Order: sequence, then structure tokens, then C-alpha cells
Amino acid sequence: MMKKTILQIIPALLIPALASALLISTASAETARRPGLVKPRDKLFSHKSHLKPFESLGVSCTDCHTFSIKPEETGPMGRQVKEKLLKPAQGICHSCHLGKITIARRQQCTLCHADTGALQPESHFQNWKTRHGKLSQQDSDSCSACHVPRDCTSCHNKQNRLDPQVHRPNFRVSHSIDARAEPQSCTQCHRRASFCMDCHTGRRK
Amino acid sequence: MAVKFRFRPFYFATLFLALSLPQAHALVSSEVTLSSGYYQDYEGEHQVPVFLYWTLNYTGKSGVEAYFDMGFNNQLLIDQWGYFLYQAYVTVPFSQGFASAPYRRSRIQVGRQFLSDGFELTLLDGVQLPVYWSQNGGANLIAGGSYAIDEKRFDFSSRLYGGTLHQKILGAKWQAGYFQKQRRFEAENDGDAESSASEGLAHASLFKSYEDTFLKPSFLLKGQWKLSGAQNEGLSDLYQGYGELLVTPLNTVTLGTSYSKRKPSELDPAETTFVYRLFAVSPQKTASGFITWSPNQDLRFSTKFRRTQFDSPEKLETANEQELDISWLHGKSSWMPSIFRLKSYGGEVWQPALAYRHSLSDAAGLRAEVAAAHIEKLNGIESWAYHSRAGVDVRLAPRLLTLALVEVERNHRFELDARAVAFLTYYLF
Repeated sequence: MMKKTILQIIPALLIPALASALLISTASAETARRPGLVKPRDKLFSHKSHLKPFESLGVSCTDCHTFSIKPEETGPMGRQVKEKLLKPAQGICHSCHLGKITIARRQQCTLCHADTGALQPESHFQNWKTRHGKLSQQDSDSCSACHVPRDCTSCHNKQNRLDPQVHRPNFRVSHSIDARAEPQSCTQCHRRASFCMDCHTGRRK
Repeated sequence: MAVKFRFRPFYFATLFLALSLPQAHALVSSEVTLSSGYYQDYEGEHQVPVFLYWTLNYTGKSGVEAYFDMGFNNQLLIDQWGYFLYQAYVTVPFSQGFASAPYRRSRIQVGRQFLSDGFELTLLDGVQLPVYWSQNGGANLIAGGSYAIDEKRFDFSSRLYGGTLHQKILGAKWQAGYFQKQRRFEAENDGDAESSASEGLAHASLFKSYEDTFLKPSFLLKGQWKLSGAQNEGLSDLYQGYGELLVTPLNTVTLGTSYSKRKPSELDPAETTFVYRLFAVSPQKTASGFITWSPNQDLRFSTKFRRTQFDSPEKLETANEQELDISWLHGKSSWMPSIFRLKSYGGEVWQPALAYRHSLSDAAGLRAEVAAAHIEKLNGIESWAYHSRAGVDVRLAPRLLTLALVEVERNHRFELDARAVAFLTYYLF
């Protein structure tokens, strides 16, 4: 009786929750997700905090402040240089943060970018979950421009049953249909018979 | 009281791993995630699993890099421990890469590492030697023990040697390589001697993209041939293969199609063949296609289909899958409705689902997922299965993230399966 009541309550809660979500979403439509910076660029960067890393990496002043300036206007009377001529080029941060420093990129991206998901290239929206393996085997180092090894293992290796990241919802009760459709995809990760047997013989609950 | 005690190692480990590292060192990056939850299993027993994952990346001034990725878990109420070493390797660079591609640097990587090369997707305990002679060409040499990526052993019974050459020629990426696989089989009985087998596999691939041409086509072709070993098929017969073609008829529309022939290696652990043979008796041949339409960067429609066949005379094992996904970023929210259908000789499942996320502020967000699946299985089971999950993530401090989730399921096995899950993640970078 108690369980039945709970079962009736769940959909009753979900529908208003989703309706509220829709209302909240509609009300704040002006703020779309973009790969923008969390703060203005001049507030993101501090010379003081970069002194040590610059010294250890051998980065000099002119590596960022390149003086590679272009006239704003053409002709003899045109102003010769841009204002703030020492302002580093846009994207100069990446010359170290995607190049000389090889710390975890995704964490590093969140230092400056508000929405790292929005930084994904267009190819990553083209059936990428299915295609990414074949393309990474073609040139795995190109992935390292943005990704760290953990990005592979977090889906391919980690079996955190509290946070399944690979299979769709309700997979536990419908996986036998998938296994008959594409057994090769199972054996990409699950190559031991014990993986099946643990549940089907009741060893894993 | 006992429960408190069993949690204690996780508390200490989390604090130690997160705080004992050199603070704010620019070349150290670390992430520690502690998660726990509660649910009742199908026998009605209480379960409280706890997982701790830790990754560490350290880059010295010389460019030598150490990467470490491990996890351990405990079934708290029965105090059953598990450990997992996903990756642990040291990288010694020989060069600093190239100006436009600093990640393409010649180096030697030694230790347990994730390998994705040719047709291989495996954990490698050994050495990987990527060498670049230009930013458009190089080689990757590999030697070591190989493991299925869900295995936890260190016995080197499966070994992999070989390498791949890759070069960009006429705007196309070419790749060719050879791997020698060896496997030692354990004796089935005490009196039996151990046996071993090996096979030589050649592979080649070609990727080309025409960005400035009408339809902007791109294609990838790759194949693998068995040159030596049992049932040597030679270059005349493709052992495994994959081909895909993408075209972009409009800036907002991409169409893709692919065909593959795949089967597991006969030298993979014997159980692999067992798992595969449970469902198939011949190589799997799959044709698939997809269309994505993005009228603007906040709205994407994607549909895909897949058809799988096996070499049986009756073709009764043929399977078909279709899926439609929509992704809509609207204001501070994202909506991701989808519908999925799959029919195989194991039955039929179709499932509408909706995932929703809402950003409350720069430091907090809501998430919710609901899905309802209609399942009709070979064994006569026909039922609906429901799944929902909702939670909130909060950045308590710049480096400290929390995520609390409630998950509820109902299906033919569980009248009501509910679990609460909490994640605590600490970053150091």
C-alpha cells in the first residue's frame, strides 16, 4: 500500500517539476550558454601569480607582448598603431596552457572558460559517441590538444555503478536485446565471462 | 559505529591526496572524487558502495611527466574492497613538439597506459614510443602486455608488439602498421603443459577531408588483415574493416554513413570468444547512417539508424536501431529529449527520454532525467521500465564540487528501486 502511494506520488512530483523547469527556462531565455570567459581577460590574468611558471618555462615578456602591431588606418595620415599596443594577442594564454604546460586540460579550461562543453568542435556533434573511437585510433595525439588520458578511462574503464556514463537509462533490464544486436560492442570492454556470470548467477547483487 | 569506522579510510585518503600535494604548483594537477550511495539490492539487502578516484598529473621542469589514475571502492556494509589501477606511467620527452602542434612530441611512455592505435583498444603494461619527424608524420612503436580494459590483472599472458607509421600526404592522413599478438594459455588440467599462440595483423587506414569542396566530403577507410597465425587469411581477405563518409550539403546539415565488419580477435582471452559466441557465430557486419541538423548553435537535431547482420542463412539475427535526439540550449537551461528503438532477435525496446539541466548560478545547477522504456524480450517478458534521476550540483569553493542525486527505477525486476548518491570532488591545478 505504502509502495503504491509512493509510485503515484513520483509522477505527480515529476510533472510539476518539469513544468516549473520549463517556466524557469523560458523566463531566463536571454542568457545562452557560450564558451565565454568567467571574468574579463584583464581580471583573469595576474603577472604576480605567473612569475614563477614563466621563469621555469623560460617565457620572456616579448613572448606575450609581441609588438606585432598593425596600423588601424591606412595612408600617411593614418594612426600608425593600435591603442594599448602592448595588449597581448587574443588567445595568447593558449600558447602555454595548451602547449608548454601539459597539466589536465579540462580542469585548466575551467580556469577561464565558463562552459567547457560549449568549446567542443563541430565534429563532436556528428554522431561522435559512435565515431570517436575510430578517429582517435587514426590520430590519438590530436585528442591531447584538449583531452587528458583520464577522459578515456572515465568512460571506458571506470565501473562506478553509482554513475553509469556509457549505457542509456533502463539498460540493466534491456541489455539482452542490445547484446544480440551488437555483441562486438560488449566485448570491446567486457571480455571476461565472469562479467556476465556475476549478475546472472547472483554473485553480484 | 562500524559504518563510521569504515568511512574513515576514505576521509583520510581524500584529505591526504588532496592536501598533501604541493599547493598551487603550476605543473601539478590532481582530482579526487569520493562518491557514495545507498540502495537495496534485489534480495532486499542494504548496499552502501563507496568509490574513491584519484588522478595526478605532474610535469617536471625538464618536461618529464608522471600520470597516475587509480580508484578503489568498498561495499561498506560487508566491508568488501576492490582496487583499480587504470593508468600509471611516466613520459620522457625527446622534443618539445611543433609550434602549431606542441602535443606532437617524440617521447617514451613507460607503465600502464591506455592504448588506442590501429584496431587496438586496450590497456598496455609496457612501452609506447611515439616519434615525430614533422608535425605531419611519425611513428608509434609499442611493446608490452595487453589487457581488456575491464581487467585488473598483471600477468603478461597477452602480449602485443609492433607499431604504426603515419604521414600526411596530399592532405590525407595515411597510416599503416603491423602488430604481433602473442597469448599464453593456461593449462586446463594439472598435467597439461601451457600452450601459446600468436598472430600477425597488418592494418592500414586513410582519412581525407575536402573542406573547400562542394558538400565538404570527408571519408575514413581502415582495414586489418591477418598475415600469420591460425586460419591465416592473408591480404586477400579483410579480417576487420571500417569505412565512413560524411557530407555537409548545407552549413547546418551533416549526413554520414558507415559500414563495418568486426569480430573479436581469436587471441583475446578465451572468455571474449565466449561472450561473443553467446550471441553470434560469425563476424558482425554493420551499416549505419546519421543526419544532424543545427539550425543554430543552440538547437541540434540528430537522427541515426543502424542495421547489423551476421552470416547466417536465415538472417534471423538481423538487428535494427533508430534514434532521434534533440539538444536545445535555451536561456540557462538545456533540454535533451530523445527517442530510441532497437529490435534484435533478443526482442524489442523503445524508449522516449528527457534530460534537463538548469544553471542556477555560476556555482550551482539542477539536473533531471526521465526515461520510460517499453521492453518486449525473447523470453516472453513484456513490460514498461521507468528511470528517473534528479539532483543538484554546487561548487562550494573554487576547487570543491559537490553533486547530490536521487535515482528512482521501476521495472519488471524492481517494483521500486531508489538510491541516493553523493559526489564530492576536489581539484588541484
